[in-house]
Amino acid sequence: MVTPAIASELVSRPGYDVPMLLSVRDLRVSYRTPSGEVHAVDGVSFDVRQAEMVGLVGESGCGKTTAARALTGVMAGNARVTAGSIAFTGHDILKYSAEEMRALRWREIAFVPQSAMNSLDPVYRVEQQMREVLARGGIRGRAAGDRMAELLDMVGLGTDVLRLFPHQLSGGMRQRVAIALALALDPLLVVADEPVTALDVIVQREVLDTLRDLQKRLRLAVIMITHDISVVAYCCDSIVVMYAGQVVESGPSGAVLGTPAHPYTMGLCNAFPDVERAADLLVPIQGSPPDLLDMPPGCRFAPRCPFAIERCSIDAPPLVETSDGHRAACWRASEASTLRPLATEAATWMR
Amino acid sequence: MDAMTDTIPLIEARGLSKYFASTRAVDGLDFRLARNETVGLLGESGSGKTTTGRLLLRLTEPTSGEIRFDGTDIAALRGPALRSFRARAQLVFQNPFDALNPRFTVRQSLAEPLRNARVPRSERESKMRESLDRVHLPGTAATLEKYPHQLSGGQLQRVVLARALILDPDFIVADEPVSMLDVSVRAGILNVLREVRDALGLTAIYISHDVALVRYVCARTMVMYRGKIVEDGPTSDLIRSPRHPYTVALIGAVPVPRVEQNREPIPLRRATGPRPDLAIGCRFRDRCLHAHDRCVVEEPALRVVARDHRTACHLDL
Repeated sequence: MVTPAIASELVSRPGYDVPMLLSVRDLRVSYRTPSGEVHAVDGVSFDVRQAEMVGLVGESGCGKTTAARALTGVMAGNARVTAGSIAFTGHDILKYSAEEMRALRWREIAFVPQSAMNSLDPVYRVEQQMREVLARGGIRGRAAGDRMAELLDMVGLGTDVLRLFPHQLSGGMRQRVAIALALALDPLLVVADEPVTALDVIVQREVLDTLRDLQKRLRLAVIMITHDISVVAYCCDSIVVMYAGQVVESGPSGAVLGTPAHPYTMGLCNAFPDVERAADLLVPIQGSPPDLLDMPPGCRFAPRCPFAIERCSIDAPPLVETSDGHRAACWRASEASTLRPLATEAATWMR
Repeated sequence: MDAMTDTIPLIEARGLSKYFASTRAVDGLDFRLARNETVGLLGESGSGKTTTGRLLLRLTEPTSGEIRFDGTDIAALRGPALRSFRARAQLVFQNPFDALNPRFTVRQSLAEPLRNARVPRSERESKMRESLDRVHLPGTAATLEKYPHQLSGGQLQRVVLARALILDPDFIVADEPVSMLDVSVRAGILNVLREVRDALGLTAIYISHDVALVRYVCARTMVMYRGKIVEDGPTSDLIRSPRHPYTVALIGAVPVPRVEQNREPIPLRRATGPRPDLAIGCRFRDRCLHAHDRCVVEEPALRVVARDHRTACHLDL
């Protein structure tokens, strides 16, 4: 179900004149498992504007990859969307047939997987894999040859990689080939799942710079899925923070990282070692995320939250706007400026 | 401790090398680790940092060079002396999900090293509780009778650490000890590593590709590049004023969890084309923006540039 009221409200607000490309509303995805139905994504809403880079951040099991997979229509066999809508250029792609989704993939929405070793077929040379994707867009022969050279140049590679097999490429080169493949048919949206996680720091930075540069130049929208808040801080315009299958905070990067409104985001920022800051004691978040088969009632972060009040373990807080474009799902979001300094002290979290 | 043993480093590597076929994974390392010293070994994949850790624990034999542990060449250790070394030098595994036998309870996992080291049965129980206490896990039956699948990633890594510490080692090598863990639990493990460092007076090597993490636990850092140590110094000096062009790039490339950060291009050429011959010249010259004629013909040796700070570069950055 599309909720046009919310979408138009966002679009008409000053400073939000960039058209909305993607609006995910109340998305629910579950997996059938031997132990029962696991609600991996449980009511997720977020927006991506044209030419915007959005970071989808969270820890393992928070549902970020499942949510992103639903966008591409390629999901695990035991996964299904149980509710919600995904409006892409105004159309709910969840209502698309398999044929329509196939037409959308690569051409409108392209995917860069976590490990390019898994996405690139080990038995085919780079050239064959690029030609296959280009053929989906009707680009063949000489035109394909020109396009391949152009794409490789965009990602900083030469045409000499065309004759190589994936195992002959370094990790950084493989990730560049995966980005070139994603861009082959001029998509509007690229979904990149942990695109730099497996790479060394310097290579990671080089690949991020290439991706960011292309995103700006081609006016691409990018959803970057990552567990690394500093990667998002480096290159994303806005951030969506997920916890236990839900969005707990979203908004412009500066607002979410500079003045986080949800205690989980505050905790994540404080738990991260920062090379430029003095090595004080890091502040861990006690406990671990809840079991997806046994979710706590109310706010899912409440069992680990030092600021939880009685209401938190009874009612689930909705995602509401706290300032322009900045949203948080916390009953105490209005007190965030008082809670933030407390969240920097380890003692607060030890309660 | 008398003055004599105080001046002997706990570990000394001399010309330490390990070649795999034509690959010089580790290529002539010289360094000393003092007692109670905690050193970060920083480098990218393929730099030889993990192989160095394995050599120091005698989990693999060097191609040439030697390692002295408490003044003794570890290659010469046999029988009881080797068993004693194995108890005194421990490895903390990278992946806590693989490090423990899934069919063993925590008690069985912790008992194994005690049995191997022939610790009397009567002392084992108290050793187990003591080592769990160090990593802030309750030393109760509730913990001891659990299987790995019943523990979270953070708890598993604490058990792995407890097992490495149970024989009161003098030396530990921790290979990327938190890289498999989620950010929110990582901080807790790093805090435990710091406490252990302070409380037990261990000599430790933390192998990592993450400068921010190394900074948090290690007062000294050695940077490896393609089998060589290219810089070695106090971590804070190395971060504030790196002397080797590779370290400059490595530190400049680290993103920070804030919106305001360095987005300048990294001062480095991207590694493309054939790698330079390692036998002559500087092995970083193909990526270095400052490389000149001398770098092609003469390999720079580690030289002292400041107090406790060495670098292998012809330039004065």
